[in-house]
Amino acid sequence: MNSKTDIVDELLKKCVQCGSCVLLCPIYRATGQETFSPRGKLYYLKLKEAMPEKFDDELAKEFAKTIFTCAFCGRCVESCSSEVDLTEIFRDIRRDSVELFPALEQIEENISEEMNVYGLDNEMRAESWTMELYDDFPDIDDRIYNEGMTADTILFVGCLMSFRSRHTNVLKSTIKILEHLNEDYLILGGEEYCCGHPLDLLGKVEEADKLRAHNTEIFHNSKAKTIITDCPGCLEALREHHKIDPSVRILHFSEYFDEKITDVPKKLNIKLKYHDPCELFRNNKVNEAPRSLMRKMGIEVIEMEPSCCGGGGMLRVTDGKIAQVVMDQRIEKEKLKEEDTCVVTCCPSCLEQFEQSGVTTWDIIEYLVKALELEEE
Amino acid sequence: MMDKLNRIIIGSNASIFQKIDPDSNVEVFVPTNEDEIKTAITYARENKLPITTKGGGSGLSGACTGASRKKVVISTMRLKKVHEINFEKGFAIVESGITPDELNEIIQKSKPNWKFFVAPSSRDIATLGGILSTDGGGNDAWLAGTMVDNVLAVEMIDYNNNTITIEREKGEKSNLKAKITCDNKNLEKKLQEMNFSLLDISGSHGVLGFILKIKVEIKTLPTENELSYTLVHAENLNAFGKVIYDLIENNIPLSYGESIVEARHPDISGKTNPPMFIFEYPTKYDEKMKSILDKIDDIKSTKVDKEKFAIMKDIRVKMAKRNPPEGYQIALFEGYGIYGENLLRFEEIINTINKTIRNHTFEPFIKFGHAPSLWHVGNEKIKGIIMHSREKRPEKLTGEIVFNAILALVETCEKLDITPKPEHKWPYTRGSEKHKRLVSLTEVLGKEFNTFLLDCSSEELAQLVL
Repeated sequence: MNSKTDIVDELLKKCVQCGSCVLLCPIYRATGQETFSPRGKLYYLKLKEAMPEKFDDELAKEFAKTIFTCAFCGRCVESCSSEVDLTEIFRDIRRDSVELFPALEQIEENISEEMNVYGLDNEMRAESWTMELYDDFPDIDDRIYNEGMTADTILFVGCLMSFRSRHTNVLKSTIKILEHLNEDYLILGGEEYCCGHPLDLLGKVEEADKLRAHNTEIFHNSKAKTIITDCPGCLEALREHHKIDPSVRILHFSEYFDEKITDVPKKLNIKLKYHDPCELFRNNKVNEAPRSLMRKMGIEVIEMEPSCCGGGGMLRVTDGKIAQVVMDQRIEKEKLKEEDTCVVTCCPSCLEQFEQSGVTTWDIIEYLVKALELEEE
Repeated sequence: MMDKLNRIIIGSNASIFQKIDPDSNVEVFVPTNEDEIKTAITYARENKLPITTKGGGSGLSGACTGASRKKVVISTMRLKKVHEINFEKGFAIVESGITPDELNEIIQKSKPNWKFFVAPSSRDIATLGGILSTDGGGNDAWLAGTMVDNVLAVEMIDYNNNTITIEREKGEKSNLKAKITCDNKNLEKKLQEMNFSLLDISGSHGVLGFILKIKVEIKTLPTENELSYTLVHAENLNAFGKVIYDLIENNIPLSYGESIVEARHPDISGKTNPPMFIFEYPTKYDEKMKSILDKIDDIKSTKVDKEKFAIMKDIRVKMAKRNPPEGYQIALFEGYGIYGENLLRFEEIINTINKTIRNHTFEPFIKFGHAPSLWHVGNEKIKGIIMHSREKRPEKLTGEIVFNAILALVETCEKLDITPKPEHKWPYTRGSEKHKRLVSLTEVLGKEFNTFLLDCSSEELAQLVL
């Protein structure tokens, strides 16, 4: 079997340096420097191998910082006719340079100690947002997994949605829809560990696998037939890295509800700009389900360039300024502040990135609950 | 420290010449306007350093590298301003760092059926300045010509920050006649006396100065419902050559002409079955095309719909960057220009080229190209196929092995009377008319831009192969 270094070496040889990845790269667009482009980063590695005497440790540190200046949107991989998975190379380099960013080390420590990115008590995962559902669903606590409990569907919430208040409304809406559909479902609460996706982005695959082994065991114990999540990063981790029994279906909310719902009582009759979350449509190939669901709701989708919002790849942690420039450029190109419309998406990270930039943004589930007339007036 | 990183990474480019000593890039500038360009040029002048201009870095000639000689590199990648788009008069004036795709996106926002008609497969990254400097063409060159045929004027800056404008004479179709304007009247007079023209800048590889602005022609697209799409498969390479020969003889106005000569990759060969062509042309030429193709033995033509045509185009565009099923590709030598009676002995030509490749431990991988197409050699327009080639790298690869193979291919081409497009063989053009002309122009314009191009040795180049 080839070692990790052999794989990187092979990818470097595959790259013909054609440059098709340069102008597409949101980081290149934001910085205007080829140093931050995928081709530029690969060229550094190639030249280092050919002229090692010209490279020192200080330079290596600066280079490593550029590798962390990447939103992992995957557009370079998608555009590469030479089939070079640049993100694979970048992960490999990140693994050895996490110490350059104390905030990333903190995240790593948080996950290691508390099984979530925020370092909060993991038992709190299903506390604050479920409390807001007591009036409507007094038995909601019965939906929180305990050993021996089983259900057809597991709702995997993810760290971001579990602990950040912005997403409470999305989760409340999700529960209302699940209840409306009479679904047999469970939330994992404190038994849900981080999916490992943030660690993957740091190249820490072994550490991520430990978390995944726990989650997988719970999934199997719960006898779940389907696992659903709204977070595209979690979805990727669940589908690709959790080693879950292949008979278990792993779906994004949009896919799950698109299957379950054929029509809605209240057509919304609105036009919305849809932001395709990079991790959802490039990495998980979920493209049609959100659009189909929106069509059913009477939402006319205004398509945008399938470009990044700057919210992925830990970029907000490693270089918030560049993440913001990426977002600002998206706002300018798509005229998101000039027209009387708002953005709809289905990724908690993207949603926050848009909202923090002053763009009115909703999760697709927040519209679905309206279309199903489940929301209080 | 980031400066040092920038000075390393500016060497990134698609040619085989990638082993650029980072210390040789003394300073890198990425200007966004004319003032910043002039600041960069002033820096070079004050430090007595030559200048290399870099566009998208997608070219295979390596001219944007400046070799490993001490220099200042100026990137045009942030010079993307569109000064004017004039649909009434059919031109656009743009800065040199814009790509064809970027320009067409802007044009088509206003008028979806208008276009700038130069479409190399690298049109997503190649800059207009770079395409002019290599006289790039594309799959529509047969009808639209190469870059120089689509340029009306160029604004250039020399080492002394003089701005020189070279404008095609009004009503003049030829690229040879131009009106020169320059603040330095003495320089203007000398250049006018030398009949300095757009054809000189075309394929000059940045030797003559810094290209700031370009005025290009823009035109309407053919109406889609009047186009036909045909695939032509040949049973052998001579029949393949005969197709090009006869289409040239009959001057069929193909708006898209591409070919796959050979492909040793099951994904490509399985879907395309080379040797084959992908053609688009006005439907009113259906009968004429049929009568030409019917007379050629050993070929089969099939009319296809627009969707199938688009799939074939996509395969063709992407194949240049693909790797073999096992191992990796290398572009040893770009732009074999096969024309005239040579088209009728295509098989012998390909066999001879492949033999040369194999003799130097490489393995032929894919060959493809614009056909029929045209290109400029000196003042003459040549009609034939511009064939591109990719080889499979041997296990053991050194700069010397690569360079010896290239020199052998140059010799093979000369023996076979294949005329490579000049822009792709700049290292080997000593004594050519183009080389002499560029040398004489640099006597007037100065020898500070990309100087290595005119005097580098084979040994120096071999050191650059990565």
